[in-house]
Amino acid sequence: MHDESSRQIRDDTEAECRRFLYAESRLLDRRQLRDWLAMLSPEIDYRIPVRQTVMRNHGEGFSDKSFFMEEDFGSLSLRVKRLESDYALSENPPTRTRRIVGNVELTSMRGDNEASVYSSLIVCCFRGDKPNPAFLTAERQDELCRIDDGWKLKRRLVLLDTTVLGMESLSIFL
Amino acid sequence: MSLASKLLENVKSDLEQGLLPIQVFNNRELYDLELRRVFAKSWVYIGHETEIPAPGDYALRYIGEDPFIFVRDSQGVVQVLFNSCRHRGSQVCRSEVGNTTHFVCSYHGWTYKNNGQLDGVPARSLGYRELDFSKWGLISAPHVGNYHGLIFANLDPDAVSLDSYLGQYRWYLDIQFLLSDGGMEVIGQPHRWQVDANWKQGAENFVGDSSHTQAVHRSALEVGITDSTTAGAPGTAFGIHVYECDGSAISIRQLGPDKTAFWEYPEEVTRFFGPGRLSPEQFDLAKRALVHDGTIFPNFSFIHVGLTDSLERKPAGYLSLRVWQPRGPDKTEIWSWILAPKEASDAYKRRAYRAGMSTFSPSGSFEQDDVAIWPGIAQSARTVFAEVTGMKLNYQMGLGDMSNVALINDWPGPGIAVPSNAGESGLRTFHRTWCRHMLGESA
Repeated sequence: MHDESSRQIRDDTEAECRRFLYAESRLLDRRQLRDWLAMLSPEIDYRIPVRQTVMRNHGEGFSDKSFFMEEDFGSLSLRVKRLESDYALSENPPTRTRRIVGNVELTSMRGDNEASVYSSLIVCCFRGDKPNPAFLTAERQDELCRIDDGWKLKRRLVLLDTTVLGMESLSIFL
Repeated sequence: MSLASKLLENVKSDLEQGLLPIQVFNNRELYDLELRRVFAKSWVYIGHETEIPAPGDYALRYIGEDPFIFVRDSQGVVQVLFNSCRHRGSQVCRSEVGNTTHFVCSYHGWTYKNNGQLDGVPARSLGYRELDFSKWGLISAPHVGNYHGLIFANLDPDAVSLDSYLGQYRWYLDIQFLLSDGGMEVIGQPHRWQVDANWKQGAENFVGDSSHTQAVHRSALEVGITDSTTAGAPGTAFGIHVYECDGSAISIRQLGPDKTAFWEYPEEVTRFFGPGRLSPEQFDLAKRALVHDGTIFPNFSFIHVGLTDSLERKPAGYLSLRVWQPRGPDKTEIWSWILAPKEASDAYKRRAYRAGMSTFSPSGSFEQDDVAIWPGIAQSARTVFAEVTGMKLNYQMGLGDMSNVALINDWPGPGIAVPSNAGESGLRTFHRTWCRHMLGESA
């Protein structure tokens, strides 16, 4: 009985987290960046480490010192504020993005209100008249927390598959 | 006569008039010449010695499009070795960074010490009895030089020394690198990203393109990432351009003589700064500095500045180094590193890193808008219309009577100094240096 109810909680939580990530990617694809900020915990820790090609005995090549983004709520808010300007040229005209979030798995829970979630992300980025997108693909390790009945993103680690960004700027959020 | 030869024939007189044929930003023939006449004949930046602190540390780097291993050998000597096995040519190092005593070719097992010397071959006693190991090491770049931790290499056996190549421009480099006894230290690993633009685009932007700031970076100014003292409209208020300094130029924004800025480094960092390794005049420029940016021909640039990632935090000083790595006439891979003074606390280095990353990097509030513009130039540069109309770009800002600002007579440093950054003298210097290399007049 106990096992079954905890399993039910896990399944429900995983479904809620999945819905959270889908909703988030819809907001980002539609560039509703203010609404996206509202999905973040004020304590958000958001990182996209730099990666290098290394031999297997050196691990996965992710830096613990260098990042494409290493953000808190204040710095993300400033990014959003700037991107809202008509003069943010990298995003005006905007990158047209299509995010596919898949392989969502609840990897662990702490109590009922904190969840660690694994997901895979593919972002297709179309710029200008180029008919072929630049792709960004990554593993995401997220920590979600329940605040006032809703989930918020508290921690995100984006583990890119590429070492060299194949696009002129990283002016979108992953 | 090809377009490139015709263009090179006239480019010198074009530049005297502040004109530049647009094709220099995207032409295959010119690019192939550049790889040979510029990149194989110049001191090209490889990396900073703090990136490979321990014996055996290595990182892969490029000169032009050619791959080299930047390695500190077991004796502690920095080597720049061509990453190609002497046996069949395959790459002996397939990892971007690491630490090793030997590079072993995966194909047949030729093994080299980390100083490049051949150390072993398969079945030596059966098949290579007469092989002279001393002649079959990895090929070193003919010249490797170190200037305050900056490692450059030159592929030309007849090259002048690094010191003479940098010439009097060292006076300005010293200001960036000799502020404290420990010098500057690279934080972490480089950003790398690709842009569909010519390598000279970034190089000329950093050498003194002060008038783009108010336009391209308007969004960063609007939201208060910085103010009109550090960036903004060109003019005589804070800006100074120094040009024709042994082929290089620098753009300076600074406060008045009685003010202290030190690129917004806080007191906890500036207390390590001192005039010990600088002249009083150099130290004075550092003290008043808001922004210093420049380019060492061909593709190494720097910007020393203080900016912030969040309105809740004060600006923090940092030094950004970058390489505009050519990847084709219309493709550049940008490499950028963030540095801070070695004596700064780990906490300050983290702060400096975030300030740098959030402003000058692929996600940087300043840089992403620069790079958004450059691909359009490469597109225009390859058009038939530009070719048939002989389109030339305007580099005349501040040239001759275009400006009524007099030169600074008592400027303490080398080069020609003008007390205004409403000009493009640095860009003209850069392209003149390019021109000399392309015409084989580099000495």
